[in-house]
Amino acid sequence: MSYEIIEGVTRADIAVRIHAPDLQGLFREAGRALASIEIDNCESIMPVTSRTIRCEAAALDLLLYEFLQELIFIKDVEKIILLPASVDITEDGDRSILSAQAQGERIDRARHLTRTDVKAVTLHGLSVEQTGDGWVATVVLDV
Amino acid sequence: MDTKGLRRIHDYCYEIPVTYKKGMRVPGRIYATRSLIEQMDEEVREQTANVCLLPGIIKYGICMPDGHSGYGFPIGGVAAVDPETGVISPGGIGFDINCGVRLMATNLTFDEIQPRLKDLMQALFHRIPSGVGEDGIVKLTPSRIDDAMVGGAAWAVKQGYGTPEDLECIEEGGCMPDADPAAVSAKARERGRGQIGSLGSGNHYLELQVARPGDIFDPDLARRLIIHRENQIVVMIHSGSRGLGHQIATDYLKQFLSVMGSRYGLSMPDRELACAPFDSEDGRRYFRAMNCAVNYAFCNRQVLMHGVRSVLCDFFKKNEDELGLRLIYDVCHNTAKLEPHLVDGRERLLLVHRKGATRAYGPGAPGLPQRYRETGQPVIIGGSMETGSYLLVGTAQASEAFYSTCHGSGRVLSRHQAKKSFNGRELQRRLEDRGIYIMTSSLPGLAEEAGAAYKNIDEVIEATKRAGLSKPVARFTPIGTIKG
Repeated sequence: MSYEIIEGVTRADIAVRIHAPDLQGLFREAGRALASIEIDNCESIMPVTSRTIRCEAAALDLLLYEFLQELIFIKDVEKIILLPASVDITEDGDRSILSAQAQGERIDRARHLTRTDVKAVTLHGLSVEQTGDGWVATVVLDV
Repeated sequence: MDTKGLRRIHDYCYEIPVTYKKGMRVPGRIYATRSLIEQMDEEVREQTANVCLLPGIIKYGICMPDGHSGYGFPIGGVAAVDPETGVISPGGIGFDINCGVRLMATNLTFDEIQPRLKDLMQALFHRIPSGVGEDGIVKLTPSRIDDAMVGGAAWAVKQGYGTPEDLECIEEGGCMPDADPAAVSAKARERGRGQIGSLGSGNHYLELQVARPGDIFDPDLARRLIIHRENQIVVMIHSGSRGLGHQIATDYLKQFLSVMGSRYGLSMPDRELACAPFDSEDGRRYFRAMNCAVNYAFCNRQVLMHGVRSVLCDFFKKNEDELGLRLIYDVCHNTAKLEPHLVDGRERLLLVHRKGATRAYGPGAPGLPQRYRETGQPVIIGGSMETGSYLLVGTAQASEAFYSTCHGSGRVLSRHQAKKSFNGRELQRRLEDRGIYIMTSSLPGLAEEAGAAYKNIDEVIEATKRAGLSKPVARFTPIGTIKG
């Protein structure tokens, strides 16, 4: 597992730290971390349907905010939990642009062990940073 | 939190000096005992101090006895701001705009309900939507959602979900006037239109509770608040504005972040405190959108209560009057409202942010319905499913806290710590042995809400009473809970 729940940031909500060797992997794992907070056994999510997600932002941390927010939106509106399959991030001037393919299925309580709705991504302590051996992100999710 | 560096005002109020952090405009005040403060996490000090940085803040940045760390404001945070010179901050309200609690009386008693409790809870669980990804009782077309955002609980009553008598027992009559659907994004509407009449998950619940004779602290007040039978059953509903409110907060947080520096020359140490002058196009627009979410949440709790009434009537084969299904009150605990307050002897209109804090008007306050003009506003405080909940009334003394009080018991364990410490299934069995029947769509989620994850509600209420923020009327013991 390349994400962990971190303590000492917030009691009411859930703070997650994600590690990955590259930026694309970081966003993929962040999407998986989000799904695992909503569905306890997220390995049970089958790739029945796919969605393309596109978003852009002025900074990488805000791009992660937008990306996770899109996954929450789809969960609320379509009742579909998605796991990111591929993520592409490009730069255009001072904007970062993301295009991702995510796969998943409608929530099925017979198979999916639902845990808690994530209401929103917060900006509290939000960061995306390059380290000596890859990338690390911190996100606090409001549940 | 270490109490070192805090100035004791009295045994139930401690001050963070204005010198604690550069830029603080006013001191911070934490209404709690030393013991409760020691149970709060260190971040509460920092977040309360950050509240004191807000432009236009009046008197104090305040934290309530159930306070704990959140983002932006602490949970339990209160800030009254001058609307002419100050700011509005979505981080001072929270993503779940108008998350709140309502309490409905019944004339059923514990002895009448206990033999059939399991069947009743199963009927409620079957008909009241809860948990991740559940649709609500009402699904709206995109144009109809405007009516709900403007009309609030009154819209729900017009559609047949309840009676006009319900409306006078809801904070603000169940409808905030300055709500403009044009300020709400298409995404927010899309998230909200299928969710009216759904509990959601996390700490949201529907609970049957009993008022035991030893837990009535003021029999006269209790009777006036419709708690009049020995071992009377009441119904408590805790929910908010669902995806609509979450998206409105998300949209405007992002908007404020992008303009607060460039357009208004503002900067805050935590991006969750992104803000805009209240008296600006951005500030007013957020306020009008936020009020849409406030009204949506009133509507949501109204439809949920109507659903509960229907189940009870079907189950007992009696009508609402025969069962005494009367709304006691409905309170908000995540809002910002324009309210008149006395400041240094002068009445001023203030924008009061409350995040995890409840408005608590004292007796005689003009905003109260006739029915509660003499008693003071009913205040509903939900505790954990293992311990209990309280009904209180507002006091005159709470004016020093802008008529604000606590909202729950407040967490002592993070969700992750609680999930590691407790097993949902075992917890469910243990509670059933104690006579508390739990229905949930999420056993892992249940573990996160274990009683030991929260402060002692009795200690929080004692501090609230001693600090003069509100007056306890009755304590309720849970007997059946639906957790989302």
